[in-house]
Amino acid sequence: MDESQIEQGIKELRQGNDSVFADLYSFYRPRLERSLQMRMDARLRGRIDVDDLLQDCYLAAAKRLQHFRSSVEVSLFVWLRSISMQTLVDAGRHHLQAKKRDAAAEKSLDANRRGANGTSSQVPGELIGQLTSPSAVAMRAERAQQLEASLARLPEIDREILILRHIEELSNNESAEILGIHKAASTNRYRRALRRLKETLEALPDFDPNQRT
Amino acid sequence: MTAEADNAELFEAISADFAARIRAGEQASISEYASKHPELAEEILELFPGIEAMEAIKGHRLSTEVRLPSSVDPEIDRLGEFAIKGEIGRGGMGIVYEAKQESLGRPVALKILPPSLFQNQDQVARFKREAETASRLEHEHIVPIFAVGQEAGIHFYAMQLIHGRGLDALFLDGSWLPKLADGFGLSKAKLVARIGLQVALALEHAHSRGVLHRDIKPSNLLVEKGGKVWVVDFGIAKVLDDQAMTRSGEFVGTLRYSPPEHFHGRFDGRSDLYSLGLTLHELLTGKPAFKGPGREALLRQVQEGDLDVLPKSVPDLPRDLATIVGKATALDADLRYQSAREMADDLSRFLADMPVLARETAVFERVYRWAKRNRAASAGLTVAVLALITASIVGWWAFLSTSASLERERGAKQLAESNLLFSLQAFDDLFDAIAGRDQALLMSDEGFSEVPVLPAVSEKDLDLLQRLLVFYDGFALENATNERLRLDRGRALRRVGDIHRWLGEFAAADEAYLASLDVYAEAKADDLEVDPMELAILHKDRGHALGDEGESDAAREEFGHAIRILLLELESEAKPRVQFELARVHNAIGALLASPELSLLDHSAPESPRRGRPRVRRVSAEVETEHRQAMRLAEDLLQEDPDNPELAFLRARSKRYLAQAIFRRGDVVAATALIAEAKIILEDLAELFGEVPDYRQELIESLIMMAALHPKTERAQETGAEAVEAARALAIAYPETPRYSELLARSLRHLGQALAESAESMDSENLGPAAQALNEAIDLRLSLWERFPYAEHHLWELVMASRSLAAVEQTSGNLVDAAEILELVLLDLEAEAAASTRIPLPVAGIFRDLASLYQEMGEAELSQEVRERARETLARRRR
Repeated sequence: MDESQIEQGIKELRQGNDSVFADLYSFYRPRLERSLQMRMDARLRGRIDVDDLLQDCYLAAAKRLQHFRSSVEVSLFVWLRSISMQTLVDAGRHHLQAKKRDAAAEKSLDANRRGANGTSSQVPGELIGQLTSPSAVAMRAERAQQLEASLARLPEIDREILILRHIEELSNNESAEILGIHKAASTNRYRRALRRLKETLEALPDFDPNQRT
Repeated sequence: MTAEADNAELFEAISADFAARIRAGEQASISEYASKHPELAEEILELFPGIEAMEAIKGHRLSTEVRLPSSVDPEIDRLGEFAIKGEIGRGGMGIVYEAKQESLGRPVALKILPPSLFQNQDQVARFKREAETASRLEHEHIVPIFAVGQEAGIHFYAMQLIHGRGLDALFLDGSWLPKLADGFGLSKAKLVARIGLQVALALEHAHSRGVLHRDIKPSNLLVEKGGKVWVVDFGIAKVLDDQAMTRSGEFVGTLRYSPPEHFHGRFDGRSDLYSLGLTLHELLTGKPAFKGPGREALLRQVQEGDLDVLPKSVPDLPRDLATIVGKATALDADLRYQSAREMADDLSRFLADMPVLARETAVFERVYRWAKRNRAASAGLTVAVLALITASIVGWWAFLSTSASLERERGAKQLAESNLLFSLQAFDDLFDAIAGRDQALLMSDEGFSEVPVLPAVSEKDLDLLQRLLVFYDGFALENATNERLRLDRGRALRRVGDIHRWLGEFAAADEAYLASLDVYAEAKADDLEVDPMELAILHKDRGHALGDEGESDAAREEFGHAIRILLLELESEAKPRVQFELARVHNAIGALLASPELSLLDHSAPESPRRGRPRVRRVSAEVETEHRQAMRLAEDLLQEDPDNPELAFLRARSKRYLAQAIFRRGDVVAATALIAEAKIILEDLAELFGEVPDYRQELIESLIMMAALHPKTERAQETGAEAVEAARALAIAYPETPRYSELLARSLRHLGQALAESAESMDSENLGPAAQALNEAIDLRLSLWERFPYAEHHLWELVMASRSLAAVEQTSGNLVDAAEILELVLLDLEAEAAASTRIPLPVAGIFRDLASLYQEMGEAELSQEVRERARETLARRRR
């Protein structure tokens, strides 16, 4: 499906043709998958299958197409993403309910809920080193940790837009829609966040802006 | 639109472009963007580093690939005799160039490894060793390595230039597989099976030569236009892996295709098959079996082996191929194909539209994986698996016996009986399938005697055997009164005996054998025809069970029965078979008499005058007579049938036993002559029938014996090293068979001792290798002992190896280490209440060693105390 077909499909969907929804969904599926994976709490991974979530999301969305038709402002992707995030919250709640006595699980539930509401508190703390030649492993892991730590130090409002734009790879328009702000405001927020990130990075001992990590 | 908004839109456009280029893996330079967009230059320079950082963070989270080594200096256009022409590609651990080997004028592929891998001489040596081992592989599906070298600090190896592409590269083009399949007129499934078959054949070849690949994955499989598959980079991953493991506890190599056991430091031939299975899985589903996101998630998926069950994700996949891939990727290595050969055979069967041997383990596997994922639930795993097996065996049994009793009508009854016999046959096959993996049990004449390593089976097999026991027991009980099934009942009881013996339950085994003998005796009294050979073998097996139990006299009697029955049959048509069995029983008697203390090979034994020496001498003579008879029988048989390898094998084995007995009475020269003859026979056999592990095993035994016969000589080191090499290959090829691990451990001990002895007298360079061999022997032995605590022999070997290692450490000046080794052994001995073992353990000797060590360390008081313990031990033994 190319862009024009998508546009045409969305138009038909809005006009009440449910049969195009499956194709549209499969077009957005990879992006939804990425968002879900990136937003999923570490403790839920391996316990909850993203494929299952996507399936649930599809079913939930298909049932609520009327809701999409009535929300004229919202784009299909952002609408689907919000449903997928709700699916993630539900799945996390369901999964963690069984472990209510477990304090750690409680905490991760809270973290997850915040994360899915559009904040980014879930992301830091997941410091993952990159595999590389053995001699560089430690160095890279350290570098990655520094970057993650810099990100974690940003105010939440900055962190969130960076995560939307780069970790979830959303466009400015989509980010603006999700955050409920004008797209120019979104760009400004994005620029401000990048500026702050650079400031924190410069505080790092060996930061060289021209060196790719 | 305001200028501000305009500016914002432009910034968005440029930054989106910049991010997209980074995501595509292209080089995107900030300064270049700045100079191209001067109106935004300041903002670009200020903000784009943040974009880079964000993309890097995502990359770190997502990426699991090994970073490439930095490219070779472009100035360099030759390495040694290789003229570099250009880069072909970059793989997980190196850059590959096309080059020309000028001396031969041939084109080669030159793989250059990252310099960070070679930071000390050990690493260099290890790489060379691995590459040289791999270069000895010659197989139509293995890319040959021509040379390994180092020039200007760059390490490389040259291999045949293959005009093909890695499966990973082909994979990027989603339509290549269907296209290729169309080109051959094959289904996609068959094409995948053909790829798998070629790789399995390559692995079989390498495994049989003791080489593991360790990094089977799409990028290491090259496909030529004609569809021929080549496997590249054999064993090289090990070098990286070892280093990475020791350096930072990280894994290099492509994590995605690692078998779960790799995370516990285990890797054998079946692990390569797992990686191959995952690769086939990926080919069939069109996506990697595990894909993250993020290294942690990927790591968890890989460790848990949380695979999609194939038929679910690929609806039109032939069931048999799904079963093959499922078996290869079983989480539990015991459930996988046990050798590359087996997997290749099944793939061939699939390609020939024949039924495959792999059974659907789907339910079983699913339960297993499920339990593994849900750690809390894994306590219930055994229960679940057992329930499944019970349902399949007991359930069937219940069904059959019920239908038998319900159907009173004659015709139906016969049908029920034939169903019963059919299931008996099916379970016999199942039993053989399990037994076949450890031939030692069913084939050997001397299970307990030579080395009392009990036949060892995996835990899964044990469960299965126990369930089979229920079936055989039930069969024998339910049909106690059925005339027609009398002899089958005898056979079932014999199986019950075999299984008990296998489980180490010798008394129960004896009971079952006895019951079986009763059934046959009654049948005979009623003029039913009983096969005398079957009866003789039954007596022999009962003899083994009794011997294992320590009832030597009763065992001797059973062997006597077997011999009498066989002697009566000597005139029958089956004469050769009778003679063959007769020889085996003679060997069994000899081994029984020598068991246990006489059968252990210990360098110092012949010289040390022992109490009861005359008894040793008398018994030795009897032992000699038995083995001599066996040897003669084998030689007679060979006259008639000179090309029969089993007979040659029997002859060689008899010679070795005889040599052992002669050695015990001190005649080293005669023993040497015999063992040399045995070795020649076995070398021929191993050469001609390399695929028969029994022959290789026997050859290793004779090498070990040879090393033991000539302590303190170079010959001991040479034969010891030869034994280690051969045993290692065997242990790798048959990881399921503990007997071969045992053989490796024993070879290592003998090699270590030989090296240590030479180090004492002249060659202190041998101390390091000696310690290494002994340490490995001890590690192996400890794990064997843990698995088979009832086999006392392991303890004895452990003591011997530890004592030697302590001596090596003492000679090297590491007194504290030496003392610690001995202290640990004493702890083991105490924990085992070693006094009750049938094998004499040199406890007093260890105390004495320790005393002299403490003395040397200046701990006079301790030394005195330990010396006292030595005296007590000796006194206790005299009493």
